[in-house]
Amino acid sequence: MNEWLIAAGVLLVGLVPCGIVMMRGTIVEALVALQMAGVVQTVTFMLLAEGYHRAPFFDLALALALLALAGGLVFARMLERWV
Amino acid sequence: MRAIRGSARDDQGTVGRSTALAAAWWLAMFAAWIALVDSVALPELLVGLTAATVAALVAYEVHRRGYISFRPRFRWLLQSPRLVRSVLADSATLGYALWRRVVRGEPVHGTTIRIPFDYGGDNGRDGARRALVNLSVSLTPNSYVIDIDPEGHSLLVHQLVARPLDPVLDRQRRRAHDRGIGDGA
Amino acid sequence: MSPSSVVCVVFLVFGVAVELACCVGVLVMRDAHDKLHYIGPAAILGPIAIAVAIVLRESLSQAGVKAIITAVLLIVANPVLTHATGRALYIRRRDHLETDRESS
Repeated sequence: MNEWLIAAGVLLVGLVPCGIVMMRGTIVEALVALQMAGVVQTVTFMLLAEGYHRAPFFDLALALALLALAGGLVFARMLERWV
Repeated sequence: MRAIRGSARDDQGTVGRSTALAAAWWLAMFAAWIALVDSVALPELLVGLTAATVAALVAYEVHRRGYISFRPRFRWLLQSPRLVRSVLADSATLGYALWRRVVRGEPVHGTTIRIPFDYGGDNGRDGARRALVNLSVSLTPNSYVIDIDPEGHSLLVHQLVARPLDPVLDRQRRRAHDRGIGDGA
Repeated sequence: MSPSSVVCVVFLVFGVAVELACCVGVLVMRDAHDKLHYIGPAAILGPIAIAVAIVLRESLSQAGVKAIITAVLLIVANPVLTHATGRALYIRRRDHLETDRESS
């Protein structure tokens, strides 16, 4: 256990308010919470990669950041007209 | 989709710019590949060269066909330090707003404002201006662009904490006013 | 503990604190337009602080470079997503939002 893994564990608590908004909010509020959760998870992956001293794990954070961007745009576009 | 039309000289100019752009993309993508794999072993270099070439070819075709036209002025990029200060100041503003909401229980309501904005034309310069204005306003946490109205020549901006217009928005408002667009024009 | 380790931990704590505060902001703010603002600091200050902490620990190794690239990606993606989501909400609300103040 090191400070990076502790930070990652603490940061995961931030997903709880995001989850509450996703479940109780409107659909657009849920999208906002989903985007926030994506940012939190990307940073968590960075911390885990550093905590486990595995440089290739940073690729997970990078991939998540890219996919969260693409997915967020798709959801936003869908919510404009179709959902 | 629109194909590039015009004189042979225009076509040559477009091909020249597209080639230069493709070369820049090739260099950037190859550098990104090397940075990500952190290796100069031959197989990695070959894969990186291939990937960079594919990316450069796509960039060349996109630019040559005019699908994306983006021609910013260099001096617009000189505003970046001011943007950094705005991001920090806005983050502090949001932090205070959160404190007011959570600790003091005060309501915090965002506001939407409509700002005169010269939409411009369908060209690379105006397109780059619209994109960079949108980027710089939306990057600062206290505000973001909701909509750009081409017919109404206005920008719809949401602010969490009402503040005077930041320099980017103020400059665009004055530009619109100088061109006879917006309130009182 | 060396001074660089202390600075590293300071940036780490700051980054995590910013992220958690922004999550609280998303929870407590009134509507989606207000909540959207809190993704900004989370996507900018948080990743920058974490990336700086990682670079202080790892210098510009593969880990440090990838941390920087990830932070830059989050910073660039944030305004794009914020604008797209704000615009989606605006379009969904079939009546235009009443402007609270006009800029003159």
